[in-house]
This record gives sequence, structure tokens and C-alpha cells, in this order.
Amino acid sequence: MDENQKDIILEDIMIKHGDELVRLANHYVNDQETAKDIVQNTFIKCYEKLDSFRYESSLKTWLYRITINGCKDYLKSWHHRKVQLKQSVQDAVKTIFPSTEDKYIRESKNRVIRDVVLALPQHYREVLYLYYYESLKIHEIAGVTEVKESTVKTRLRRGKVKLKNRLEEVGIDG
Amino acid sequence: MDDHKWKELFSHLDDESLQFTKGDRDKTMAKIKADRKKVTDKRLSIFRLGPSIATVMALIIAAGVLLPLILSESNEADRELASDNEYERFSLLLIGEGYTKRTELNLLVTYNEGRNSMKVVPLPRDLYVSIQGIEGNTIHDKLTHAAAYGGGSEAVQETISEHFKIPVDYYASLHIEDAFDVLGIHEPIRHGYVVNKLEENLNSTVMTDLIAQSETNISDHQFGLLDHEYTIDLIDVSENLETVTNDDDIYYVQLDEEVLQETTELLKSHLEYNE
Repeated sequence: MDENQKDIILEDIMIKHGDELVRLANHYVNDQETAKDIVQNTFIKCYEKLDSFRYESSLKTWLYRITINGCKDYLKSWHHRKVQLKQSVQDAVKTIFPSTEDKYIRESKNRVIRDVVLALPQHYREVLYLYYYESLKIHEIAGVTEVKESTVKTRLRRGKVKLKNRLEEVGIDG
Repeated sequence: MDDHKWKELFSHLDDESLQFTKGDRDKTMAKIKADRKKVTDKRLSIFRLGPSIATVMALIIAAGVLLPLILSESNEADRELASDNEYERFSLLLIGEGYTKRTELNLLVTYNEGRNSMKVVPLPRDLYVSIQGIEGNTIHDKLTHAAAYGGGSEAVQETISEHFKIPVDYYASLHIEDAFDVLGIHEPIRHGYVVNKLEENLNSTVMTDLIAQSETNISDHQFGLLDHEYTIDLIDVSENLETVTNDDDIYYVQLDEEVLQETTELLKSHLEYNE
């Protein structure tokens, strides 16, 4: 494969998977710019390995796994912890002086659901999101998150209970 | 709720405005091209050094690339051999943290995959310990303050490691309300009550649930191991606690020195491979 060919193939892959990967990443890191950076790195790695993908399905799983790993590395990093501290200070200030705009956003149902889902422990949030939002199968989730299928099942089951309880607490029934 | 409703619920998370745009794609391409250029530049500079130096360089590079390869291969073989007859064993500190970073639940845990068992020592919040503070100074105070005085969960992990003279490999920390929720504890006043409740309700499912909800540094592989049925042996030391009051009239509890040593021995032998 020459470089021109590779460029064209990568462009296609980016058009096809770019949006879903950015949303996936944003779900982990909750920051759009960071999510885009992580996905950019995924595609750069993908470009290097382009020759080794034969099937579309293996490519998708691979892209998901690299993106998820990128997100988890980021969440572990020092930079993220620093930013998070700053964010929590800002949030504290916002709670004391809520602007009218914020109040409006807070009232919308989507925002509430998003907050509740994001507040779940990551182990649960990850499988619920991949299963219900990305519509991945149990074995696919096990593949991209690198845990056993039985673990995925347990987390899915317990995550649902947890989420249901929390949604009921904020007055949203399924 | 059925599957359809769950899907509907998650569709609320859809954020159409978030896209990997043409600009993002161009940026990615530009980065790839920049990296490609760097590689070619490097290649060129090697050739400019002259053939003899290039040969020497090539040899060094070859040695540098091949040696670790050869070495790592044998290492991997060793590791595989080791994993054949070795089961996963580790110690963990499970803590339930309240609103002011005070830990109200402190469980010292050892797990042995080969024995398919876990030992759990509930530690009283008022246990008198030496805490390694943020500025490197040692503070003698109740265990419950360790996270607040030191650097969070890791500080509690170190404090207990020091106190029991046993390496604590990992920590798992969750909010105390979530922990008590899972354990069915409603009035966490006395240590004895908490221990009773643990005796009543703690099993491998509950334990896994606690860890699943935690902020933890154990790996997914280890978490996967804990997601099975195993026996839990609760070690209750509450009978062997002495109450001490210091000069400022503050009340602490201390674990009888002999019992402390026995507990350490028990946990250490549980972590050993042979039965």
C-alpha cells in the first residue's frame, strides 16, 4: 500500500467512525477537546497498523479498544487530576452563585440523565453505555474492555439496578 | 424497565453537536504527515554521516533491538512458567469515606485465588495509628483521619501497611453511604455493630459489589477474579481492643500487641501459596 492509498483509506475510516469514537471518548473523559485529542491519537495509531486489518469488524473493535484505553490512561494521568480539582472548585462556585442559564440547563431532563449516568462508578457506566447506547453485544464489550463476559454480565445487571434507583431518586422513572 | 426503555433512556445521552469534523480529520492527517517527515529526516541524517559510521550505527542499533528481544523472550517464557503454577494473591484495603474524608469503614483484606478464599479484618475507626502526613511528618491519631491528614486513600493504605507490618498492595475506596447501602448498615455508631452486620451480610457477591463501586487501583483482571464465589473468613478483633485516653482527654482504641502480631501472621500465611 502506498502512502496516497493509505491516506484515502484513513480518511474513509475517520468519516465512518470519527463521530461515534468522539462520543465514546467524551463519555469517559467528559470533555470534548480531550475526547477529540484521544480519538486523533487512535487514528494515528490506526494509520500505522492499516496493513494488518482484514475485516471491518476487527477494525471497529480495535478502534474502540484503543480509544477506551486512551481514555483510561488519560483519567489516570496527573494532568487530569489537576484539571478535575479546578473543575470541582468551579462547580462549587457555581452552586453558590447559579446563573439563570445554568438553572435552565439543569432543569432539562437530558442534563439530569446525563449527570446521573456520569455519576455511576466507571465499571458500571462503561458497560451500560456500550450495551444500550452503542448497541454492542456482550462478547464485543468483553473484547473492547478486556474483561470476561461473565464480568460484563454482572456489571450490566448491577449497573441497571443502581441506575434505576438513582433515577428514581431524582424523580425520573423508566 | 425493558430493553427498549433502557435504549430510549440512553438515547438522551446523544450529543449530535459533538462530531469528528473535517477540521479534526485534517489535523490528524497533518500530524501523521509531520511524523512521517521526522522519520525520513532521521533516515537522511544517518546516511550523511558516511558509510563507516553508518555501519557502526547499524550494528549498535541491531544489538539494541535484538538484545532486548532475545532477553524479553526468555523473560516471557519464565513468566508463563510461573503463571502455570501460581495463583493470584494480594492484599487490599477497602475503605468507606464520609463527607469530610474521614474513613468510617476500614477493611483489611487478603485474597488467595488458589484457596478460593478471602480474609477480612474490620478495623475500628478509632484505632490509634501513626499516619504519614503530607509534609513528611508523622502524626499519631485515629485511623479515621488518615485520608484527610495524609494524601487520601494511598495514605490509609500506607498507614495500615505500617501498622500491621504487612504489605498492602491495593486500595478500594467508596462513599460510606454506598458501602453501608450494600452492607445493609443503618446506624454506624459502634464498631461492634458494624462487625455484626458484616458477619450477617458479607459474602463474595457483596464484596465484589463494594469493590465494583470503588475508586480502586486493582486491575480489571483481579476484579474479574473477585467476581466469582469464594469463601470469606471474617476476623473479628473487637474483643481485643483496649481503650486509651490521652492527655487531651481524647479517646482511642489500641489492638492488643499479641493479637496484632497473630493477625499479621494469619494474613501473611493466607497470602502464601502452599496450604
